Formats: sequence, C-alpha cells, structure tokens
Amino acid sequence: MKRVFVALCAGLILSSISPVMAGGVARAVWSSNLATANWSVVAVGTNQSVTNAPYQLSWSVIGGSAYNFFALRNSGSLNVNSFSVVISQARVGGSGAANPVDFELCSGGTWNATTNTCNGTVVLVGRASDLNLNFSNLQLPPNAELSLRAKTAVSGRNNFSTQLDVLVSRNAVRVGAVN
Amino acid sequence: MIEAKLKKKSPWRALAGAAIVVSVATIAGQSVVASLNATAFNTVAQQISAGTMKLDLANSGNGFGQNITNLVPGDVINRYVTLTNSGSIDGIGLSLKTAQTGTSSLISDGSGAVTTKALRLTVKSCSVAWNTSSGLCAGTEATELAATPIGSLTSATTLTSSTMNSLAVRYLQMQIALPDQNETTVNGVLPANTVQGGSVNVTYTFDLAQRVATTVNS
Repeated sequence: MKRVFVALCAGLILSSISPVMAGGVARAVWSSNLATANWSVVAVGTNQSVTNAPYQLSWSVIGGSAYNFFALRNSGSLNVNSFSVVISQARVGGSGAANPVDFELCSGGTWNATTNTCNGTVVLVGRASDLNLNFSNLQLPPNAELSLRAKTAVSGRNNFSTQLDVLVSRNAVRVGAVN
Repeated sequence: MIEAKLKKKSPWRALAGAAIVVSVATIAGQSVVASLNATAFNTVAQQISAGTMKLDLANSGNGFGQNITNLVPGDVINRYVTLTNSGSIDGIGLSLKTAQTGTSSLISDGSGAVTTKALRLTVKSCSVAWNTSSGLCAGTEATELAATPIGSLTSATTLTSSTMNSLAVRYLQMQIALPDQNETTVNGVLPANTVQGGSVNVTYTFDLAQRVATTVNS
C-alpha cells in the first residue's frame, strides 16, 4: 500500500512538471527528394543485351579476316565527353602472339553486320596492340552509341581472345555547378 | 400504587425531552442562517488568453518543393524557404534537424578504403528576401549552419540566429552540396559505395520553442 502511494505521488509530480519542461513548440516540416547522376559506357555486341561485364571477343581465324560488330553505349544519365577502352588479348590455343586487331568506328553512322558496311565514315580508332583506346571530344548523350567493328589481321589459324573494359571517370561528365 | 403511577408518567417525559432537543436544534439552525457574510468580487471579469506558437515554412522561388535530379560531385543546389513565426508568442531556440532515407553513401561519409563524401547541408539567412536567381543577399547575410553531412543532422541543431519574435520572418538559403570526388565506372558497374545513381528523401524539421516563462507582478 505504501509503495502504491509513493508511486502515485511520483506520477503526480512528474505529470505536473512535464508540461513546463516541454513548453510550447512550433514545428514546420518539409520533405524533398534528391537524386544523383551516374556515368557509364558499356560495350555491347550487335543484337546482344548489356551484361555489365568485360566485352569478350573470341577469335578463331582460319584464313582471311574475322569481324565482330559492337557498340559503345552510354548507359549513364549524363552526356559523356570522353572514356577509354582497355584492351587485353590472350591466346586460347596454339603458340605465338595473338593476331593484331583493328578497331574501326563508323562515324556518323552504324555498321551493318550483314553487309559488313558502314553508312558513315570509317575511322580507325586504334589497334589492340595500343592496349588503350581513348575517346575524347565526344558529346555522347545517354543511350547514344558509337558503332564499331573489330577486324583481325589476315592470318592463318589463330585462336585467341580479345577483352575490352570500358572505363568512364568522373571528369568525363559535366563539372559541378551552382544552381 | 405509587409505583404504578410513576410508571405511567415515563413516556411523557421522554416525549418532552425530545421536543426540547428539537426546539433547541431549530433555534440553533436559524441562528446560523441568519449569520452575517461579506463578499467582494470584480465587477468586470478578468480576461486571460493564452498565446499561440506557430511556425510557417513556405517555398521562396526554388524551394523544397522542387526536387533535385542528376546531381554530380561538385554540384551546389540552393533552395530558398521562408520561415515565419506567425504565432503570438516570441520564440527561442530555433533548430533544424533532418531525417533521411535512401542511399547511405549520400547520407554519411564513407570510411576506410571507401572514403566517399556525403551530401552537405549549409543554411544561410538573409535579412531581406534572397535573390533566388543570382543567389545573392542584398541585406545582411549570416551562416546559420556550417556545411554538415546530412546524416549528422538527425538531432536538432540550433541555428546561429535562434530567436524569432512573434511575426518575425527568416529568409533561408538551404544549400545542398555533393563534394567533388572521383569515381570511375568500369563496364557499367558502379564502384562500391558509390555516390552515383543514388536517391535520398530528406525531411527538414524546424522547431521553435516558446520564450522563457516569466512571472509578472505589474
């Protein structure tokens, strides 16, 4: 009984204090949403879907040249003005060096994989031996593509693979701005 | 014979006693009712009215109502809001806190190998309305809150100018910045704990407490 009494007294004291402690408070609340951009370019083969993995070309050349058609697509949300493609090659079988591979851009058009033709201007952008292809002075909007053809040198039987890794750094997109 | 006579008188005595008691009580009661009383009261009722606490938040030009999209490192976004103490009570302890959900790298700085920098909020005030086009203050500008990662504002932080009298207006510039930082995307895969492609919902809460209660003697 004594405990109940003490508890009641304590409750009474607290209830009389709390309004004073809380006081009057006015509150204003607002919510807002914020989203960031992303910068990204991927290599994607003709009629293939984006895998977000290195683009792998497997060559098995038996005389003449072999071709592969692919695109470098802006999969980000901003215009991209530059990016680089790191190239690595490896033999799959046999011996000796892998075949040279040329990379040709169909500037202002697209490669037709069926007819092996470009409806724009063919520009040699680099060779596999360069190890790095640097694309600059671009204005590549989101979802836009650069159409490329990889072509092996004429050779005899030669099994090898070519891997492309596409890198886009932060300075490939617009600079920060005050809005 | 004598004893028999005495026994017959006994009920009358009891009745008489009761009558006396009732009479005395009645007389005594009448004397209370008849006592003198004095009453004083104010002829005009005293009016006591409580004050009000009310804080209004309104967009001013590009305010919180306008979402921010496609932010890149180095971007600074200014949003303008106007706070008004529209209550009748002077306010003190103006504070701000934020609640946020979404991409963690935008809310709190990274640590260790991944040192991403989260969004910073800076609050500035101007004695007159901001020029929301130029971001300039034509009056007196003050920093109410230095740049702070938004994840560190979950507890109320008192602003530098924390007093707002009744009907006072505070013109605020809410500056959100994503610090410059380098990230390289490889084959479409974003780096770990990236600040790219993120989204945050931020709820801003301003609180204004009532002035200190006082005892008035005059």
